[in-house]
Amino acid sequence: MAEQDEWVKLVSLDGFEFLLPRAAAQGSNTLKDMLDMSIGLAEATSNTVKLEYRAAVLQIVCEYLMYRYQVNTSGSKDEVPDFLERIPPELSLEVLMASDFLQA
Amino acid sequence: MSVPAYRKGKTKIKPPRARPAEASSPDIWNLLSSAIREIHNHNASKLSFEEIYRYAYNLVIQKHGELLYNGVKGLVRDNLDRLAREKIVPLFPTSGASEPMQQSNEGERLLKSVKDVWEDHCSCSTKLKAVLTYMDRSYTESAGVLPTYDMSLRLFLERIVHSSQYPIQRHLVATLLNQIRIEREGYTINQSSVKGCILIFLTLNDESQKQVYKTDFEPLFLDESAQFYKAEGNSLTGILSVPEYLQRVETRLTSEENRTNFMICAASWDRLRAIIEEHLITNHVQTVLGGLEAMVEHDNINDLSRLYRVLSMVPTGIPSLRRALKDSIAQRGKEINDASLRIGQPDGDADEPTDPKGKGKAKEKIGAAGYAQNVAHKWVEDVLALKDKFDLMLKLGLNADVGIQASIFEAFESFINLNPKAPEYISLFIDENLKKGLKGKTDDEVDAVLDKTITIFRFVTEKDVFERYYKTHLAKRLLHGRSVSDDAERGMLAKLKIECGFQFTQKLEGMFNDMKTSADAAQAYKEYLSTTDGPEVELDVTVMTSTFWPVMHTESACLLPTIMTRACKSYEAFYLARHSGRRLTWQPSLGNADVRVQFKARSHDLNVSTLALVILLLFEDVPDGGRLSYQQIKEATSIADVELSRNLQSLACAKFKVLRKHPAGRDVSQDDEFSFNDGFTAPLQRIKIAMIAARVEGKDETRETRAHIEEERKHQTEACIVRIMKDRKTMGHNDLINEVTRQLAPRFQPNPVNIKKRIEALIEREYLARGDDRKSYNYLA
Repeated sequence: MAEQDEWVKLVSLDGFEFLLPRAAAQGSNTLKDMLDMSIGLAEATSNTVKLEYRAAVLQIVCEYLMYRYQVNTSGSKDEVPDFLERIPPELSLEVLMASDFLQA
Repeated sequence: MSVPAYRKGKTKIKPPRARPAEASSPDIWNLLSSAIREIHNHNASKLSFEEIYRYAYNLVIQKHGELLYNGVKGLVRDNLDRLAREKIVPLFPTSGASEPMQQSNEGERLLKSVKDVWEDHCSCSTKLKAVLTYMDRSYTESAGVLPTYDMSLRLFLERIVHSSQYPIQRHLVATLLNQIRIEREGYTINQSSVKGCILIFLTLNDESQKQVYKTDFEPLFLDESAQFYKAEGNSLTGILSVPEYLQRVETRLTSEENRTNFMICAASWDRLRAIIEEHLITNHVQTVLGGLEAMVEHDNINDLSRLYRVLSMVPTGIPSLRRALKDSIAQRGKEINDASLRIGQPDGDADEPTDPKGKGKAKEKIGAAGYAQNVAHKWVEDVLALKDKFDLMLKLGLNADVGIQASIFEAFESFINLNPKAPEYISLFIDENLKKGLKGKTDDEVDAVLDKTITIFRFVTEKDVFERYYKTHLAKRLLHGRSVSDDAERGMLAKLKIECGFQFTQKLEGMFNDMKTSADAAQAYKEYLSTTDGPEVELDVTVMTSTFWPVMHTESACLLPTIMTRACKSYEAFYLARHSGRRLTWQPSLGNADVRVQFKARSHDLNVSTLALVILLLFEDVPDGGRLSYQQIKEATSIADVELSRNLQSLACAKFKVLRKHPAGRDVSQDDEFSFNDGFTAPLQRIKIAMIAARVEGKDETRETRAHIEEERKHQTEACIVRIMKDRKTMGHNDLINEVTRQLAPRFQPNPVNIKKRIEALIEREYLARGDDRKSYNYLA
């Protein structure tokens, strides 16, 4: 099995595409399973995941995954900025549901 | 998660946008179930994970978790039933073939198929688990049912392994055991399929969380193994020789270990191992030990060490081995003892003066004496060889096992002490080495031999007997100037000292000191002579402290010729002037003399014993050809019969016949007559006339020595009792006996009866008194 791409693509309901490092995407258990070659469903072969969320929500999801990835990998003891600041209140419920769905 | 409080009220939170026309739950389930079927048919890669996941998600969200769960369960069950029907059942072994290869092939097909089904099922379950993660997270736990993956495995157990429809379990286990047996019989099987199937057992747990392996497979497997190895043990011990059998056992164990670890389950190894050990080793220990003798005989270290390794695996092995080794040593020791007795026996007969044909008797007697010496030598050499043999085996073959070493020592001790002459033989052996050591042996070699001898000596319990002999032999060496070197003697002494302590060697050291002071005294005597009128003969005196030296011949009074008496008087005067209050007793039987004798052809320097010299001097006054009868000689010298006949024999019947005996013959009898042999010739100027010596003691002497030793032991025992009682004042009978035994053990093994007798003797002499309770003794100051 060839080495999987370092980048994966997330596609929103309204057609926006987000490119994300694989390692960051794996911060979500659901995404991780979807992209797992050994389970091998369609998403894993195409490295593309279509999600039933608006781009606005998906963007926050991506930002969060990146944020989480960086915090986890940098390992620095510096003050970590609170991610909550970045969630627009009007989207918070939708983001909440997405987070439940994606197990992030 | 809750929205931070400070935001409340400031911004309006929009509810999530309504989904576009959610499908009803039965529809979703239909979509989902067809997707799951696709997964089961290996078409997973065409499906969208997200879709399936979303279906399941939505079902759970819409509170249809139960529908979803049971539905999935049903699908999995159907699939498994299908697989069992299609892939496993047709492969049940049917032919009942007896040919192992055919059996093996059939079995392998079944196992491979089961394994494939299992692997397939596992991968499907993994996928199901992945897409149904949300259900696992939100539904199963709260509903109290197994998570997807576990549920799926449990179904496998129910529908395949424990299938009520098909006898899969029976066939599967039977086939596995069959495959293992086929491999044990030496055929090749496909290990990976066996391994795969056993892995199924290992992975699955039943309702009570027990490994199916433990409940369904392991007991049967162990039973089967027990039967197999029982049969193998019984048949192989009959066919194979012991070394081959041991080799087989070892290979069996290794191959079983590999098999268990690779194919089966490492956790079973201990139990399996115990079974194999029981059937192959424990039940056959005696058979296996039957081969010990041959290994020992041929110094077969490799087999022996294998035997040791194998036996050390089972608890009864090593003790049995120890017993067998002990028996073997005892047997060998007995042979050595018997051999020495057998050789010793004709010697004893030869000593009997029943042989009427006197001719050549002396020679034979010397031969016999030398022979007896050889017996001692041979005995010690044999024991040493045996000891070396077992030491080597212990070191190389038996892992220097301490317990076995103890057994070996015990065996040596018992058989060495079975030979009553052991202390004498050992002493003779040492004597010979210290005397003849220069003959082609280096000091180091002699030292090594002596070191080994000490190890034998260690086994001897009657150390006082040894001391006595050693003393006698040492005295002879010292007086006749025959020891190799002072260093060697002292070295030996040091070794004995290490073994037995200061007390043991005290007297022996005293002997050395006497030699030294005598030499000093001789020096002083020479100076003394230069100032006064000396006697005509040169005199070299050894002053021996009577308590140190074994007085070999008490008061062997002997009338010395005047010339010698004068010399003695002169020394006496000198010595007593130096040390007042001492008494000198002359022991002519221990000395020797150099004398020049004029024969017809030439003169020779003879080295003879002092007594022989005394006899020779008698003939000085006898006219040529004149004879002296035995009785005359005896009267003139008043030498005791034993000594006299010995000396006459060495003068008249040995290699150098300085005297003629009439009638000629080998034995000296009381009515023989002797004349000076002036026709004596010899190629050498200087001749040493050796005394005919009884090297190994005759029976009478042995008895005498024994009596001496018994007497000595009495004293030692009494001294020991008094020593102890003086310290304790009062003591129980048993305690006292034990203490005495303990204290005397380094010297000899006292007999409790004898100790009791000594105690009684001491009570009689009022050293001790019985206590009031009649079980203890009091010391009377």
